[in-house]
Amino acid sequence: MTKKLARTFLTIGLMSLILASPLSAQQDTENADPMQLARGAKAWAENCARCHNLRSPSDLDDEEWHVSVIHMRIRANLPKATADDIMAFLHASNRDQK
Amino acid sequence: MTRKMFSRILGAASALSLAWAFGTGAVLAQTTENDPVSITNIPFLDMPLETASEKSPYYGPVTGAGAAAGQNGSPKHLPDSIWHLAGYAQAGAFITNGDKNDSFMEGKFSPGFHFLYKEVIMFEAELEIETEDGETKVALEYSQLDWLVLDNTTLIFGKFLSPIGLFRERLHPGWINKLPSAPVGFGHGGVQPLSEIGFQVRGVMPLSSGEPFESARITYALMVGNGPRLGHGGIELEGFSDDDNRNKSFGGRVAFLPVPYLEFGFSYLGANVVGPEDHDTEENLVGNYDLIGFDASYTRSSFDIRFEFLDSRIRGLEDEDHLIAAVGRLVPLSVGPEEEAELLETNADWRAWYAQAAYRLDGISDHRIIKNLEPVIRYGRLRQSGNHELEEANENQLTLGLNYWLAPSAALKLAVQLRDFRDPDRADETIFQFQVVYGF
Repeated sequence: MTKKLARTFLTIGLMSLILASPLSAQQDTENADPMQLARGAKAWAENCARCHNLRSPSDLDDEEWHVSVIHMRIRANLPKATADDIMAFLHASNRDQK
Repeated sequence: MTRKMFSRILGAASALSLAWAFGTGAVLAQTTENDPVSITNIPFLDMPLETASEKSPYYGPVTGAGAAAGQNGSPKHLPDSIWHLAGYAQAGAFITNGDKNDSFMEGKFSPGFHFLYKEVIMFEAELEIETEDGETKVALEYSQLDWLVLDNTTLIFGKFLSPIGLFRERLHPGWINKLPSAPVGFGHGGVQPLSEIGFQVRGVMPLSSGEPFESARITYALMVGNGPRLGHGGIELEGFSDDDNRNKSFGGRVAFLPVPYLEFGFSYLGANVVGPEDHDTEENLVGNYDLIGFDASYTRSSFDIRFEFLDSRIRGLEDEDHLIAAVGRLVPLSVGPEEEAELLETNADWRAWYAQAAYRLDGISDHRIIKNLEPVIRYGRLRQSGNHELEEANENQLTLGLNYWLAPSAALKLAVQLRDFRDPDRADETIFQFQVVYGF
């Protein structure tokens, strides 16, 4: 009975997540501000270090960072807005890695 | 009672998402206009942000309002399809004073392939190539298709690392794991599920509510899969490509992060597992398997502190229509009359936990060598019951380590591990571990 109840809640919760996610996406886009690089640097330091050391932005070029950040957005459950900030910071900080 | 409580917590967490979805004003914007972010101690950022921004024509100058958002994280100069080779390699030696494995070398290479189409589809796979008994062993760690269906929601199909608990999905690669070995009960053949084949939905719900919790969030990973099986060694928790019964495993992990460096996670996994035929009825016995877990992490500055707990069990069922555990019912762990001695007497339980703390000395020293050192301590316990073979493996394990970081993803690791087996007939072991790791 408890398991059935948990499954019901999980199913309802899942549906609500899918329904509600566009709300946050729209808000994130509309509220973007000019401090993206600063936010990206902070988010990079705070979120990537949750599991591993911070790798130098110059380790990878723009394409590689793009794939890596999307990979980590999925693996670490990062909000898209946060992942975008981190990506902007890494693309801007890897200097000669174009 | 505890198990019911965890089930309820998981259910309550999902109910929270419902409230979040339909509540008014509960979701605040992730970003704040002109929010002054102070940046200190960001390694590698050896240029002012303004200079860095000049290099990035696709995101625009940092002072250009809206320039960054215009691209929405998808720089136009990148092609639609991109791929990237990542992964890690490790090699080392484990030397023990016990009566098993006097010494051996280990070598492992785990290349990971990431293929991305725009920000819509990602295919990722990782191989595990290692030497074992003089032969090369190749295994597929995971192979999954990710569909970034919404900004904060991703659907995953295929073989994926189990989202149950934290160690397996996030911390097991050699360059991330702070010690040369996995915590007791969290490696192959342990309590923690390794992988699953099925379907997963995962994502994040931002809960921003202003300083200091502007990054507060709930994350979730919910899965349905083919589930575990009973095998010769007990419960087998690696992803099986087909299901041996009509019952799918169901579970996941929900975590709360009040701030990015503090995380609390709750896990649950439930499934039915099929045993061999009952001698009387000639029908397969069915066991009810379930697992609950809790984890906590604090990863700020030079500290990395973690705790993880998993508790699982199998209870025998009269048949699939009766969901009440039958006390005294035999749930065989292995097939074959010659192995009947290994039958579980009643039911089986597995429990494992560990606590680990690491501190990078760059927090107290700028010396070019000392700052790269990182002492680590981990204590863990494994408790199993059900038959003698399981109980023989019960142990308390203390590991002391010292890492030297050559680069952010390359390290030399030294450790000594003290294994205190609870079986009085089994000698304790001390293992000296040396490992070189490189993540790429």
